[in-house]
Amino acid sequence: MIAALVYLQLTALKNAVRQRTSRLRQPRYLIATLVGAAYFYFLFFRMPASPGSGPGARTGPGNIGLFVGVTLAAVIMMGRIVYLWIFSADRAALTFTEAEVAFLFQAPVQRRVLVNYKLLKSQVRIVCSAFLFSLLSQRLGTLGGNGWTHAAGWWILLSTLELHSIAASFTRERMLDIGLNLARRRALFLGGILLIGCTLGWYLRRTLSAPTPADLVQPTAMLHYLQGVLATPPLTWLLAPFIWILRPFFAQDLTTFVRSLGPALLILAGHYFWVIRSEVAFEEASLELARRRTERGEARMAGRWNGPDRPAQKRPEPFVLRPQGLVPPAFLWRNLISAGPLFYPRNWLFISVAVLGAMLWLASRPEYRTVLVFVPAIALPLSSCVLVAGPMVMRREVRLMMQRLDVMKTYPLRGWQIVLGEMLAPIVLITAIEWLLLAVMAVAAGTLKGEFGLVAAVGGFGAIAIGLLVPPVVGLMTGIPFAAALCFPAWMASLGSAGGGVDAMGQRMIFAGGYLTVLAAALLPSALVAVGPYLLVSWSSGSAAAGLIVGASAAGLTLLGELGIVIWWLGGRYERFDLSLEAPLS
Amino acid sequence: MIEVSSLTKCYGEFTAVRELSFGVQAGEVMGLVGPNGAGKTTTLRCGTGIIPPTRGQVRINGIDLAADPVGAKRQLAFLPDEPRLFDYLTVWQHLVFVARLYGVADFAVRAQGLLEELEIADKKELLPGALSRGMKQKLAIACGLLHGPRVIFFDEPLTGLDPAGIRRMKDTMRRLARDGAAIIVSSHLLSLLEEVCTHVLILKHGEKIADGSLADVRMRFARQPDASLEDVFFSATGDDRVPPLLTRP
Repeated sequence: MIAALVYLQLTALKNAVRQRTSRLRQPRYLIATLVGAAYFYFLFFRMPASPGSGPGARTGPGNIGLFVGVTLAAVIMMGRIVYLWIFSADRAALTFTEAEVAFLFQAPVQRRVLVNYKLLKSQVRIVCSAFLFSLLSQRLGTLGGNGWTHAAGWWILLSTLELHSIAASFTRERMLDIGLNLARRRALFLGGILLIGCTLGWYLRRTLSAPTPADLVQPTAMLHYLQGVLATPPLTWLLAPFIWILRPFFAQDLTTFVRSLGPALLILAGHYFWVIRSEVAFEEASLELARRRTERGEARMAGRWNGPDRPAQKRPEPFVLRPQGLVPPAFLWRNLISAGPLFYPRNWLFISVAVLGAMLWLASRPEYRTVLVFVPAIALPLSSCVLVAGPMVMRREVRLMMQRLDVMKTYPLRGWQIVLGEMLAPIVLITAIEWLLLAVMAVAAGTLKGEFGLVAAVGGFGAIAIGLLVPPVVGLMTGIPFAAALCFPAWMASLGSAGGGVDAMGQRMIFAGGYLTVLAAALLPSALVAVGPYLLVSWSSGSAAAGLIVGASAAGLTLLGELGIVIWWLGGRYERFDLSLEAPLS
Repeated sequence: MIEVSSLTKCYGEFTAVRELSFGVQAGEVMGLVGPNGAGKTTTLRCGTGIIPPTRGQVRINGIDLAADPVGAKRQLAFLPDEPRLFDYLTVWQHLVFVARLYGVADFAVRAQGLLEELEIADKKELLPGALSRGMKQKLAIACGLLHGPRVIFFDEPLTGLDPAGIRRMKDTMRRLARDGAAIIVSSHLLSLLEEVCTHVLILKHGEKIADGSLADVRMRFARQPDASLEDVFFSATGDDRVPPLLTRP
């Protein structure tokens, strides 16, 4: 029977690889794969490794550093396992797909075979993870060892953790069966851990001296002290199993690695038999888990990131929509309701007034000037982040739009009306955030830079000038996901789904490049247009601030013109878009 | 009301629909049937302007769909098999949104009337998540009918409906036809089409096999006078070798 399950796993894997390989015949996947492969190549093989990681420098850390490193890793691993036993409430469930549940659970297959199949299946993920992690960890030359020992070390660690997680869930289920419910189990384990912790603390206090200032001054001294603590027998006994599992990974050479393999593999084998010999009914919980996983996946595909279990709550309207009038505001109304009440005009006005009021109060108090220094330091990166990431988040909305395209295409609307309508909400939301951040930065900059108001005034005008540019720039950047969806719909579909691969990473890199290119291409003409009016007004009026406003207005109008052209082009593209010729989006 | 002439749709080398011509007049309900891959969905999508035809012409109430898509789409409604609703809009807000898209003048009266007729007037303030499958379908119908379309396309309208919902859906289609709408129903449920349709169009491999009133098609393809549409369908598509499901030894 296991042969059939191995066949299933291998065939599924082979077909997945074949499918991904065959679609490389399409240029869009080929280009994305090449870009993604180049990214991974530079990440794993060409990026400068950490100091001391050259070929001649693979001597590994010193004895003390190695000892402390291994022991601290063991402490982290122990913490992870303690957390699993105390806080995890999951029932004994093995992760199967709904298809596997449908085919395997009713087939004449022994439960032990199912468990073995699940373990075999998880090995695909673990081996891939171990390979990737080893590529990264071997670049940290200070760890010692080589790629093979690292890969094997990662494999032992990840496999043991996986087996322990399953075994723990089986044992918890057994505990439930004998009447040890979640609360009692937690009390029992917490009590046990407290008892061990207190005993250990009491013993360490008796045998070890507290660190002196000299122990804490230098890293070497600190390492020595820490080594003393970690090498104290009761603690070493407690951490021994975890250290045995980690030793192959931290092995400095092949001999050490081979020597450390025995205990690690013994623990791994022990875990395997623990899982296999646990007589626990996992079918019902596995079935439920498979159903929930499928629902979560479907909810994600449909854009409901809060999952299937949380029903939507009714939200108030941001403004009253009359049944007749311009169409784009109807899309804004609908999308603002979806975005939630935070960005409704009244609520956002209230938030803005509160934030600016607080800023002005801070600015009026000289004793808080040091606090103001941090405001631009936080607001400026935040503003850049919102400007770049905001339109990228729009990809999800665009995917939802594409899924409803068959109904939307029957609306009696021109393409530009739909594109403008769908773009309005992100433009309004991002602009609202950007304007508030600009106002906050202007208040902070004005207060910090000028004592007589002149610099503050110029700072304020600067903020107004930038504020004028924000809506069209955001509009242009929001247009990119639409252009991508209408030009490369298959890419948008794969970007929205979970997982990915080399080609998906390549697609993401290409999109990120696209954002920067469009931003640069859009800003260049407007910057050229702005120079003339700025110089003219500054020279004639003698006011740099006035020149700034006029120049920014000219640039803003140019950007608006560009945005209009983009919306018009996207509208035409939308009208000509042939859904049937593209890859399915839902 | 609906005039389709020489409609052809190609996907690369593959021709999904070839030189298809037919017409549906006011008050008629035409059933669009055919085996899987016959071109029903493509015909429906081309007819509603969702996808452009490769060749041919579609006229909705006399308006060329390619030349004046906005004008033609004002006259039609498309009701997909799966209602596509917005998670955060209530039943009433869905209607407000659609009213704005179509510029419905007497929105409040029409919307209230539709909700009462479809028996969901008491669900006005609910979100789609709180509605059953049938209720969602009713909301989709209300949205589709709000602007008073003269041409209506139904794609598998009975999917997911309970017996009561099925009966109401059939009544709605008959009532709309009585009121002068031209209706096209695409479905695999031949019994539904037999009950509701006045005309039938049978497609196979993208080509028209039969087109006309039920009586005409039955007369042409049936071997017995009381043959069901199912018998006619298998006879027309050449699949009459399909054995009945239950045979006594």
